[in-house]
Amino acid sequence: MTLGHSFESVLEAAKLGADWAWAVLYGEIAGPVTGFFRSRGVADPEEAAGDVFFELARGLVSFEGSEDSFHTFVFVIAYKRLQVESRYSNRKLRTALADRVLDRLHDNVEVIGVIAEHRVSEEVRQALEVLTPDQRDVLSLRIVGGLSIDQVAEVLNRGVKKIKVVQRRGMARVRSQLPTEAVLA
Amino acid sequence: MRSETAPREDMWSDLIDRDLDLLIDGKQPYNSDLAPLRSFVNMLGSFGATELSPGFPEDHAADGAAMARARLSDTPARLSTPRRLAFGLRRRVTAAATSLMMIVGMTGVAWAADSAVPGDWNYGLDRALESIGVGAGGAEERLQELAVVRGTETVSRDDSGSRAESENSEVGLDNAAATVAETPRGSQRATDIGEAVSTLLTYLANPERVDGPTVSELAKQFKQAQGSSESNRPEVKPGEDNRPDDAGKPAEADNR
Repeated sequence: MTLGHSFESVLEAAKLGADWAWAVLYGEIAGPVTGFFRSRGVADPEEAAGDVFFELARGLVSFEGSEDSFHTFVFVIAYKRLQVESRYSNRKLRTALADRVLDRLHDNVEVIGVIAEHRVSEEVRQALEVLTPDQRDVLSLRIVGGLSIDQVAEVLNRGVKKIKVVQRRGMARVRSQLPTEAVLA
Repeated sequence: MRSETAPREDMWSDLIDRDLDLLIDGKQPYNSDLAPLRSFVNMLGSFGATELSPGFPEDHAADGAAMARARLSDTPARLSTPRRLAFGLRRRVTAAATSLMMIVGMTGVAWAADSAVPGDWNYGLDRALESIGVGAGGAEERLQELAVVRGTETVSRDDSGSRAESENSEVGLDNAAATVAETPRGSQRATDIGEAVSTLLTYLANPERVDGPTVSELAKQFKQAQGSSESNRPEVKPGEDNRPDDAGKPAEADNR
């Protein structure tokens, strides 16, 4: 979902401090940004997304550009946050199933859905494990972040051709790893 | 130089890229070989659609608006979520604060232990730190420790060095004091004698267990160590002296 023509007015309202405008902007990016961190195994994806929002709030005043540029701007911050996480925690892709189940139990929500979701997450993570770091970056930004090739090139500070090659090789690698029955299902 | 097949390869790559774009956009790729990747794309894409905690983006949105208003009015913003430093800076500040606390803590402990004497709880720590070169007071510190064990104010190099050896503990201590005072620092002899003195002092650190015969025995061992070290000591020719400036001097400076 995109804001389209209304993006410009929402951005201006956000710069003037309108609560509704910030809610609209964050509503747009909260899912992809949190999902990006979750797909990369960050221990607390919402905390990481909160850091991105805070940086965004500090930098939005000086931001000028289209909605696509805004998304790129957001993921430049998110990617830096991911690098900080990797550098300090040196953490590999990990699961946080127990925490999430406990959270849901606390909220009195059905747990089976969480476990099913976790199973899917694990399959994807296993598929991502076979990729190189570059391929993981490109595919997660493309598919979870919803960025175009050009936007990914800007976030990663690489050339467009390079990003295309990395995406192609990454997808080929995933294709070779997927079991046939799972693929057909 | 490009080969003749290069344009065909480029074209093939372009077709693959176009199909991958279609796949990622949720459309049907022309190349059926890529179709099985749809499940992967769907599953990976589902990460961006997972449920968020109640109030998660809303609180941050309110903070973003508050920060924007505060910037316009030049007043500090009231945030509903904890105020945050930039994430890189926050990590660095946390690491620096932790390091500083550790350094201050260790320095404090080392400083406190440095003045410990036999019988104090941290005397063992003092010896351990000295063994790695931290707060190594050398002969002066040993002399002060001996003075405390003997219950006297100071042990000067003059009076400690003039005593004859004996089987009783006081003379053993004096002997140790004299030897420590006269031993050139940094030599193997100083190490051997230092260990012997340490054994003696460690024993004396527990007043309840101290008895004369044991002290005498330790003093004997110390003397043996002293003797063996002396036998291994290289001969010093007349006119040469490998002692440091302050070792073995008369106690003029101490008595001032």
